[in-house]
Amino acid sequence: MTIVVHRDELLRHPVYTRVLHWSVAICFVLALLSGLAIYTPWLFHPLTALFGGGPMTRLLHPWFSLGFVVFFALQTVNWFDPMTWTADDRRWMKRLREYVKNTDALEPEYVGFFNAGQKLYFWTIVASAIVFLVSGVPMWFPRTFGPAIVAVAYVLHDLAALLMLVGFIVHVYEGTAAQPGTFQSMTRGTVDKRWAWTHHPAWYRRVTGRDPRADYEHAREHLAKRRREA
Amino acid sequence: MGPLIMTPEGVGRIFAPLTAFADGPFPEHYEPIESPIANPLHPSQSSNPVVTKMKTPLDKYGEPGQGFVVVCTTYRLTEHYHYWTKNNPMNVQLVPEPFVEVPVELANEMGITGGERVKVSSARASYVAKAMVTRRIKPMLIDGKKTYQIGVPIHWGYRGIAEDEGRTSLTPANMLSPTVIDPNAYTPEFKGFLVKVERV
Amino acid sequence: MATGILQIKAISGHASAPPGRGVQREEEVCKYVDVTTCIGCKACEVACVEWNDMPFQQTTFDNTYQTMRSTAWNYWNLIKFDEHQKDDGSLMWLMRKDQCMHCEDPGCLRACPADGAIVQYTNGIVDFQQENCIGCQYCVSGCPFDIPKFNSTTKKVYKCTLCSDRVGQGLEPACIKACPTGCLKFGTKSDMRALADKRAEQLREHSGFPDAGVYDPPSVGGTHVVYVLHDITHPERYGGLPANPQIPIAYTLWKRVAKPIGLLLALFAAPVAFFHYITEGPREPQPPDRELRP
Repeated sequence: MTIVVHRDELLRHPVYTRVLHWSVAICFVLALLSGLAIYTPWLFHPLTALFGGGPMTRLLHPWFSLGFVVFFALQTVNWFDPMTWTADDRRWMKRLREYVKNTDALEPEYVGFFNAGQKLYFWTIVASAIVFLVSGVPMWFPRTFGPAIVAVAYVLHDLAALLMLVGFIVHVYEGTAAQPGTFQSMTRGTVDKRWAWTHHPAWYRRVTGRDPRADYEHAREHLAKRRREA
Repeated sequence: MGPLIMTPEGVGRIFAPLTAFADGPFPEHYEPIESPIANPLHPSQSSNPVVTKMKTPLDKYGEPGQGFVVVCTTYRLTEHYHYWTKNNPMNVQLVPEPFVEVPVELANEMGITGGERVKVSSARASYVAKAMVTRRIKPMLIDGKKTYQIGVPIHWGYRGIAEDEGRTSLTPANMLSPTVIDPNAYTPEFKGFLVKVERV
Repeated sequence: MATGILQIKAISGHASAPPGRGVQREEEVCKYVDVTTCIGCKACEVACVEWNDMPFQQTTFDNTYQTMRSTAWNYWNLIKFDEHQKDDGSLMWLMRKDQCMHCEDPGCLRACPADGAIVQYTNGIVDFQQENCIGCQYCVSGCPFDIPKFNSTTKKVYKCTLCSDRVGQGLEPACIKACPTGCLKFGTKSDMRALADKRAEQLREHSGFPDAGVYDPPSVGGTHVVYVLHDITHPERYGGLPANPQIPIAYTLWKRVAKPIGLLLALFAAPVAFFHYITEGPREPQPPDRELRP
């Protein structure tokens, strides 16, 4: 697979990944909105209007959720290797404070295809999807499972949903405003090479064979020279 | 007004002349025509001598010696009325199928579980229905012998919602009981006769 | 009469207080059921089916006089038959009329997430409004008495309405009207409770039932159906009546306390993200094309 697609751009996410990502996202958002309608009285009426009324919302919610589970299961198989937790990820987590405060312009050189934060989010979704499935089935067929199991399922399901809501908000922020140049990786599939050596230097090194820091220095000098000449 | 409304005096009589009772004049105890024991008062005339007996080939009477050792009684339920409510969906919903009430001790002895079909036979006919195993009928100790009683509600037979669906007895319960008519009230002996119970 | 007006006291899944709350004082109604004089004739079952125009269903013989195992979406009133053998060898044939208890603190209403699907009137009747029901069946697990039943075709849940349509016109419920022995009575909660207490005392003093009592469980705030039982210490003998009915703790602690806090905390993430953006700013790919703010 050719990674460099254009002089300054690298292919980050192929078509299959992008289709899966947006399928998961659409199913998740639909499940989230239909679930919120049932979860909160204040949002019930406005949100159920999106789905064709209360009964329709309740009917569709488990089907959106099943779609989410199926597509995400495929995504898990797709991303199992790049998401494996390593010693470098433990190191990254120790520097979480510096990451949030944007202390360094560039990510540490050991950061690969996904950083530890992304991996953490991914595995949280895996755990939550399992909790959703296991708690959702008794909620779908309450008379089969009995009141005690359903009451517990109800709490677990809602806790997982709240966790996912937080993760979702952070994920959308990180994927759009917080890190410019990221969103196009999931729409067009490509990223600028400067984005690559800034955020995922080890990946940049692996796919281009070049030293990310050296290329960064070179680009910086080039930019400074252009400014002096302007 | 007292309860004895059938006498002009309004009180009971110890001596009731023949015009008042066909089997008077004194109070007496008679066993039904089919009984597990002989009449303890006068075994040589166990049952009422002036009952009317029919003379068709079906009018046979059974004895304990022939295997008819279980006492049977027939009765009505509140959920049904005679033979017409077996055609009414509401009544059939309340009590859907013919059944026979069997004491739990007899059921255990014969290995019958609730819902299993049993055949109740008298000297005249047989009746097949599901068994209702219950604690409400206790075994009786008569003349030193343990005697069981079963109960057969009458409301099914020939056609009806249950019969047409094959959940049936097809034979009316009154084929089991003897057509032996009380000399005063003209009611047959529906309430006490002998049967044998078998698994089907 | 005062009990003939239907005014809403509580609405499931509703954002604000019910309208007109606290304006009028209403008398609460109650059904009185004397289990000791019930003969199990099922006139009340038939009356309920006929008044509510419910379709017949095919039943099967199940080794009992009980019409079916449990109430159904189209069978809201069921006499439960139990043969109880006492220690002295004697037998009691217990017959209890099973239907919605119309709890003062209904578990179904608390669990329900759909606006207006379950309402409780000021007279104590808890009524399902099927038009607003979404078929989620949270009420099925919220009820300590296993009463609400789901219809998988219409996708709605149904139960006894305490004949709210009759009571609303000043009539007694259909089952009360049909009972031939007088073991069912209808009136205000205070009157029926007083009657029940008196009957229980009569059973204890004169009828040889030292454990007779009234079933009106405080754990659900009392109910608008009270039973007089021969033995109040063993309600489970009467077709599985729970001794201490509870609404599952999840529906209380979780729904009323943790849920709103949880949602606020979760949505807190959005303002945090916004403030992160305006303070720490985005991470531009390096080197940045333009000068960043200092």
